[in-house]
Order: sequence, then C-alpha cells, then structure tokens
Amino acid sequence: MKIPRILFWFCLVTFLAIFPLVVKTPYFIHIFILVGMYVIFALSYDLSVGQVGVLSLAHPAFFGVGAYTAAILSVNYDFPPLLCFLLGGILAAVLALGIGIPSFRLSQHSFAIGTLGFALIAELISRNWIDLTRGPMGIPGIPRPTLSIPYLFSWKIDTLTKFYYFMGILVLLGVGFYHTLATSRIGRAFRSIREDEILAASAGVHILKYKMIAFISGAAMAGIIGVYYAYWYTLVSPEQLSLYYTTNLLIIVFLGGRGSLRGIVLGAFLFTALPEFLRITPQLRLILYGIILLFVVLYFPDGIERILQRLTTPKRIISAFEKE
Amino acid sequence: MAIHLPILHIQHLTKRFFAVTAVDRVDLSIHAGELVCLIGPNGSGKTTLFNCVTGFLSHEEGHILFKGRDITHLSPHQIALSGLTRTFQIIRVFPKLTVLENLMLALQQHQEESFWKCFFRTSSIRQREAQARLRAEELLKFVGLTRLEHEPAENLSYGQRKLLSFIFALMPNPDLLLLDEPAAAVNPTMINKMKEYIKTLNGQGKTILLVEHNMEVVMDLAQRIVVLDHGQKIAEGSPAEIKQNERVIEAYFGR
Repeated sequence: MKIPRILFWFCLVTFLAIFPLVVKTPYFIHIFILVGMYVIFALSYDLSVGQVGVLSLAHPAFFGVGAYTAAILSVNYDFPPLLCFLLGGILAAVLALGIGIPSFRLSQHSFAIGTLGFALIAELISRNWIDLTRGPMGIPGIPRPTLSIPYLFSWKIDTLTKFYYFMGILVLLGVGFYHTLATSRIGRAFRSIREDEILAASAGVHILKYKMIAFISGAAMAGIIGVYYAYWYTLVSPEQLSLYYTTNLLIIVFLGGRGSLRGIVLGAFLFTALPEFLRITPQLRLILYGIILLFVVLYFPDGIERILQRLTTPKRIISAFEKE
Repeated sequence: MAIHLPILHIQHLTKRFFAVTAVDRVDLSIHAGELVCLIGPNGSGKTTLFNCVTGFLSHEEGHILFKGRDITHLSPHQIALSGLTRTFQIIRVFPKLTVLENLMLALQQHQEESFWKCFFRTSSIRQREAQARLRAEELLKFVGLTRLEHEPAENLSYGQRKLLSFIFALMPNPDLLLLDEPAAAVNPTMINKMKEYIKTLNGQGKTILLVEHNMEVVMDLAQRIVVLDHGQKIAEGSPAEIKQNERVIEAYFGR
C-alpha cells in the first residue's frame, strides 16, 4: 500500500510542476493559483475547525489583515516583500490573540457568533477607516514583489508563471506545516479537545492554550496567504474580508473532510475549480454547483474524505473483530 | 517515624447548586496507600464531591489539600498534572483516536515540552514518546487489551472502553486515583476482573478513592468506608462497622 501512495504524490507534484510549461492559457494558471491559495487558507482554517473542533467565523479577518498589511506597507512605504510576508503573518497572529482571549471564554455556539462579530467589525473597519484603507475604493497598484535577502538571492516575481511557482512553494510549506503539526503530539492534544474536552482536561491538557495555538498559527498562515493575494491580485478591497470567504472555507473544510489533509486538498481543488470549469454552461453554472453541493451534503455529510476512507480501507474494522 | 500527613485532605467542603446543598461541610482524609470507598444513596453528593476535588466544579466553602498543597482554585488540568487522576461515571474515551493514541495522550502532558520541540520531534520528544508507548503497552497487557491497540476507541465494546478509561487514568502513574463507579453496568466476570485490578494496584501501593454502588465490591475492597447522605458525611469506618451502623441502614432503607 505504501508505494502507490508515494507514486501518487510524486505524479501529482510532477504534474503540477510542469503544468504551466505545457498549458499556456493564463486562465488555467490563475485557477490553479486560486486553488493553491484555498488549499493553504482552508488548511489554516482547519487547524481550529477540524483539528480542535472550534467553529471560528473570524478567519477572513486574518486573511484581510495580511492583505492590507502588504498593500499599505508596499504602496505607501515601499517595504520589502519578504518583510511584508513576515509582518502580515505576525499581525494576523496578534489579532488572533486579541480575538481569542475574550472569545474562547464563550461556549461552542457563542464562540462562533462572537468570532462572527469580530469578522464583521474587521470588515467595517476596512470600509470606514478611509485614512488607512481608502475605504470601499480599496488599495490598487500593489507593485510586483521582489523577494530578496541582501547578498544571498533576489527573485523578482513579475510573470504569472513565477507567481504560480511561488504559490507552489507556499503550498508545500503550508502543507508541510499543517501535516507536521497535526501528526505531532500537539496535534494529538488538538484532537483530544475535539473529541472530549472534559476528558482532555482530566488528562492534563491545557484546553485554552491548545485552542490558542491552533487559532493563532492558523491565523498566521491565513495572514501570509493574504499577503500573497495582495501581490498577486494587485488590489485589496473590503470585499476580501467579506463573509463570502467564510462560506467558501466552510464548504471546503466540511465537504472536503474536517481534520484531513487529503480531504481538504481535494475539497479546495473541487470547490474552487469546479465553479470555474462549470463556466462552459454560463446559465446553468451556479445551479449545477448548488446541486453538486447539495448532493455531497446529503450523501457524504462527513465529506469527501469519507469516500476515500471507504475506498482505501474497506474491511479493516471487521477483520480486527473477527479474531474474537 | 515522621508524622504521616494525609495525601488528600478535604476540610469542610461545601458545594451548593442554587438552593440545594449537594455537598455539606464534608471532611475527608486519605493517607498514602489506602483504598477508601465512598458510598451513599443516589443523589447523596458522591460524584459532586469528585468533581470538586478534580476541579471540574468550584465549591463555595472549604479547602482541598493534595500532597499538602492547596488545590482549591486550580483548574482541572493543573490538578491532573499534580498527580491526581480520575475516571468518569459515564465512560469517556476519545472515540476517533486509537487505543494507543488515547493512552499516549494521557501521559504526554505530564512530560510537557515546548511547542517547537514537539513540532520538530527532537530526540527528547522521541524518547518520551517511546517511554509513553512502553507504559501504554504495559497497561494494555495488564488489562488484556493489547490486541486492540491500533483500533479506534469507538470500535471497542462497552466493557473494553471501561477498561481503557481505567488504564487511561493510570497512565501517568498518579499519586491518587479517583474511580467513579468502576463496577457499574458491566457483567459479573468484568466486575471480578475489575476488583482484581484494583486490589493488585492497591497491593502495589497505589492510593485509591472509589465511588461504588455495588456493595459486594465495596465490602470486599474497602479498607475504610465513608458514607454520604444528602451531602453530609454520616458515617466513616471499616466495612464491618459500616454494616452495623444505624444511620447508614436508615439512609439506605429508610426507617
């Protein structure tokens, strides 16, 4: 079973690596970048929603903080992009700390509503603090970034293909971080909280601390991907903090498979690429998308991951009990 | 010989739920190596007392000293880390985690390391994981669950989950173990097994406080029995003394 899995990942990475060399259509490359963005964004969201099991609705705020940090600092102050990436992540993490401290005092459902409140406040600030954010007009003209460390390397990202490969690197880093964290003993503590908070506490798990770790590291990831978005899209506006993103994230994480790397990667691909590919029938596009969503919700409420599990491990459970 | 301080010392513990006084000025001391049973009719405050001691409920009055330290205002995880673990009346396990993962989790916080050490799996972490695994396997062997170690806990039968939650509490080798009805709702064979396990542990010097309704188990196991009724301690003594005690008989069977 091990070899085909390695082969599968190898084929996937190779395919993605040569994709822009073969397919020259900018549109498809854009879609793949968008998919990559959602992979990281959804994984960062899953750290709290899927791993720890707390439903936060504030996630777009962290993305927005990253995006606005990059926009403001690079347009107004000409900050070096690598520093913007760092600051975007840090500021999002600081915001998460600020939101988390009061919100984690709330119980499950109130926590969701509480964080929703913060998300709405963040959007309001981006619309109304005109001096800083230029309000609804947004901040246009974000320059193409040059990633550089003096005397070491310098990489000017000025073509779509370069953006594509840069995203590839970020996805590898994001997936690596998520996977390493989730499979470490910290990840085990996360899942214990998701499964049974009271039992976890009785085993000595500091519930608030681990919730915070998940929330803050997820926010930092979202902030970094927000910075990327700003450079790639060259325009940041209040729409980037809207609930539209929350909906997409919820669809990807819940229908992909909470707490599962491959479920979320696949979910990010399907639910980002699908609406785009459905453009072949413009009139029916959203209707078809809606029908597919409904189908998944009805028949696979635990997400695509469940289907994969059934395919790959059909009789394991039964065999363990036959010995009795 | 030095004066033996009790390992757990409860003074005047009072817990009220609105107008109801669930635990009413209870004093209780447990010394190292003892096996004490807490009994009483339904609703007499046994589980509430457990929840107060383990920090899941805050109480209005009184003090709880564990190993000479006041744990009155500590949170559940701090109390657990100080060496006092418990089981729950309603069985709790982590259903989606495997049996082994359940047990590894029960120990890992007791050997806590920094975030980055855990993240990068330094050699000290790997060593600790290996230790935890050895400990888990030892306990699985003790209760005969070795075969199921890679099974998600949700696939276990009720009795197996009960055993898992029992060794879960034992994983960090606690100084005091609180067992909430270890013999409830399991078949007679399992009750006998459970009795044996508890006896063995106590024989090895483990201090145990248990709540139990099964009188046969209580009389067989307990060195000392504490009886609660309506939140108050009405009697305390050896099994033989408790059997003769008028107030206990009255509490259980009425006048």
